[in-house]
Formats: sequence, C-alpha cells, structure tokens
Amino acid sequence: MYKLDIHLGGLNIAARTLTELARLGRFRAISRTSTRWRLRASTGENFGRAALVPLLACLFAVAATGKAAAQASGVVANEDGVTVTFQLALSEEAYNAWDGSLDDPRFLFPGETIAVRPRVESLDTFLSEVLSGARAEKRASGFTAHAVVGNARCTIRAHHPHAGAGPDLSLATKAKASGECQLIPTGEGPLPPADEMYWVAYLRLKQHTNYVGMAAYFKSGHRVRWTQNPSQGYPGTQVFRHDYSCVNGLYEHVAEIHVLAPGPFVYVGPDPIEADQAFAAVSDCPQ
Amino acid sequence: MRIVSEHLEGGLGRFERPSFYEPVESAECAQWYVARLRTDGWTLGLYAPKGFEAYVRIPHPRWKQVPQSTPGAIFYHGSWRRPVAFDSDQQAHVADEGQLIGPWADVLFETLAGVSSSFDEQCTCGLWEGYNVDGPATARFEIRVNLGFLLYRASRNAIARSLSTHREPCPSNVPSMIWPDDRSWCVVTPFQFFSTYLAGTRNLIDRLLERRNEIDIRVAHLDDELVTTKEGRQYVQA
Repeated sequence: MYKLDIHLGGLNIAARTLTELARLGRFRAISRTSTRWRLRASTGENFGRAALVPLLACLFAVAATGKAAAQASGVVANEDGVTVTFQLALSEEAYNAWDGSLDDPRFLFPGETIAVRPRVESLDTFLSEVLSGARAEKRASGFTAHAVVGNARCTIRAHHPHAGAGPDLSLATKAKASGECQLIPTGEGPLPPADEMYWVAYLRLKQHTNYVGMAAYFKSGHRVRWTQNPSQGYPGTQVFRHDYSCVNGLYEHVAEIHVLAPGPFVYVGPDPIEADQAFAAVSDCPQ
Repeated sequence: MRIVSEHLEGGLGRFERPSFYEPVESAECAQWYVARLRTDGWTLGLYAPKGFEAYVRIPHPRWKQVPQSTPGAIFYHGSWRRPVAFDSDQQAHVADEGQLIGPWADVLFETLAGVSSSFDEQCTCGLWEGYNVDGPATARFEIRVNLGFLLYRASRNAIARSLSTHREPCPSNVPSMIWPDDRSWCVVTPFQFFSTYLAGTRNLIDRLLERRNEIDIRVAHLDDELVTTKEGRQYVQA
C-alpha cells in the first residue's frame, strides 16, 4: 500500500470530512469550448455527458471549417489558436432561486485567491474516493443547464522526476509541478463562493508500472496557482517516492487538475480538466 | 461582468520560455564547461567548472512571515517577510530550490556589472530540461548521464531583470548555469539545491564578499558537498 500525501488548502476545508469533500465533487460537464471559440448554453438545453462527445466533435469540426460556419453554429470564432477552457453552470434549481444580483459579497470575481495554509496528512485512499465519487456523479443522467456562470481554465506542467531534497532534506526521488486555474464569470449568474470552489492538483509518480508516490494539493478560490517551490506558506507542488527514498530508475510523472465545484453549481467537462506528464531516467541517486 | 480577454490570456500559460532567451543551435559552446566538471560524487565540482580563482556560495533566502513592524522586514511578494538563517528555520523543506531571487539576485548581478567593462554582455545559459517548458528547439548538454540542460543566449541585464527584486520569479526560468563569452565568471544555481554559486576572479569574488552585510555570502570550494551522509541516508546540503 502506498502512502498518499494530501495537502489541503484553506481553513474551511481542513475541518471538512471526507463525505463533505465528496459532496464537493458533485459536478457535471455542460460544455467545452476554447477561449477563442466561445459557446453559450441556451436555457433548458440538455448537455448531459452523453451529449458532450457529439458537442465536442461538432465544436472542433466547426473550428476546423472556419469562421463563417462557426458563427452559424453560435460560436464566436477567432482565427487565433485553440485553447480549451471549460464552463461552470448553475443548476436549474439554483438559477431559479437566484435573485439576479451579482453584488453578493460571497460571489467573488477573478483575481481572488484564498490564502492557502496547507495541512499535510497521509491517507491511503482519500483522494481516490473523492475523485471516484465525483466521477460517479458525472455519470448521472442529463443535466439541464440554465446559465453558464463561469469559464474555468487550467494549465499544469509536470516536471521531470529527479533526485532532490525530501521533506527532511534527505535525498529522494521526486517530481515537481506548477499550474494555475481561473474561473472567469460570464456575468449571467453568480459564481460559487470562492472559499468553496476547490481545485485539486493530483500528482503521481510511477516507476515502471508501479505507482510509487502520490500527492494532492487542494486550493480554493476563483484563481489559484500551484507553485513548484514554496511560496507564502504553501509547501510547493511536488510528489516524492512514498518512503522518501532515492532510487534510480525510469519514472513517469503524471500531473492532473480536477475541479471540485460546490453544489448547487455543477462543473461539466473532462476529468481531469487538464493533465501533463513527463518521463525521466533518474540515475544520480547515490548508490 | 463579461470576460476580459487580456486578463485571461495574460494570466495563464506560464510555461513558455521568456523571449529574451534565444535558443542555441550547437552545444559546442558548452564543451569547455563540461570538460571542467567533475564526473563523480555530489560536490560543487559537479556543477561549477574548475579553473577559477575563487568561489562563493549565496544561500537562497528562507522566508518567514513576520509582522509588518518587525525591524528589518522587507516588502516582498505582497507580504512582510524577512530572511532567516537556515539554522533558525525549523521548516527546512520550505527552502527555495534552484531559485535565486529578489535582493540576492540584485546584489549578485550588480556586482557582476560593477566589474564588467561594458554596460551589458551576452551570456550562455543552461536551463534544466526537466522543467518541461515550451520553447523553440535548442541545443542541450549533459553534466552527468540523464542530467541535461538546454542552451540559450541571453544578455546579463535581461537575466538580472527577470530575477530582480520587484518581479515574481518563475523558477523554471532561472538558469542553472550562466557564463559570459569571455568566461571570466560563472553563476551556478543547481535546480535541486538551495544555494547559488559564483565562480570568478579574486577581484570579483572580493567585490561580492564586500556586500556580506546585505546578503548571506560564504566562501566555497569545489570540494564542498552538495549531499552529505547522515545516519545511513543521503541529505541535501542546505
């Protein structure tokens, strides 16, 4: 059994139970578009998971066929490159209950980043349960998207595994990552409270076919960053071999970002929203 | 509230090499460097070439949050912080690996400029390929098997600006080694360690040591261990 390092950001989530975290994972995809190829979901339009694939196929077909076709399909086109973003929407119930105000102080706008003071724990199955719960929710039947309230965009970069300093400065095989997510409001509804909008950087270190280390870094806010090095109380984004040993070999580092939107908000899009991987042969551990 | 595209475009996609780094087509310019490195062990000689008159080490700052009114506190990254010596830092793991930043970089590059006969000079830089940063193809060299660096050209002033006090540094863009065309000095920042080293003439090193009251600077030698053994395990030298 490998050890899983959990890094929880924010004071609120530190007090939450596993069940509550799993609840945060209730999100579903509604649409996928690029920053340049905007797509707006119409009221009452059903964008269940089953509809997503043809939607994507259509979207990228549109992208390939040019601006005129894109406009005819309701996509605002731009000749610049395709960068994928994803959207966050209110559920029908929440939309109906919303009074139309964007002034609620709970609904913060981009630029907000909740201060993160991570707490480190070691659990075997914590994250996998959270994420599997989220995936189960996403397999649920169709969802009625009323208003796209935000576009979520993430980027992550997995660094090469290497021999470096472990938590106690002992030499360990490890890998770092850096990334960022941002939730952009569309103005058509409130965003989730920033302190409940969670993003998870999920790092795995694999040697041959075995996972030898995992780490998860939770952050809340409408704009969050995972820095490779420590910054303002954050320990840096890295994954070690589970026993903090330095072992030479061929390694793979997979870094993913998962979105955990609080109910009644739903996120629908690929899970993970973004991923990267890096391979490296580590050969400079002292033998 | 509608999306501001500039905000969106400017905020993400940080994984591209800054444009002031120009790719190098041939690794020939690094041959002298590699030829002067040690090939075994974990000493400074693994990263810093032999043949220079003197070497110094600049430990990377360990930041500790302190109240705004704390004497000596300096404004940095939006928080009031002050550097603390490693020995008094109980959280060694929050050290800055491979990241020379802020006033430390300013002092170093001001000293380099002070001994240079020209306002600026072109340098060759090695950036660790493991940062996995997007950029045009460039030549690479290895200082040890599987320890590879991508070669770029950049001006000393451009590098200094990128690391200066008032910028938010991106460790992925901190070169692990920098040397000018006349090879009169060499700055080494191993990506996985906690210090930056300067190799150069005695005059240059003395000029830097004169600023010891501003930042922590220590005399170094090529035999200095980067990794030490304690209790049967290997530890990274802080």
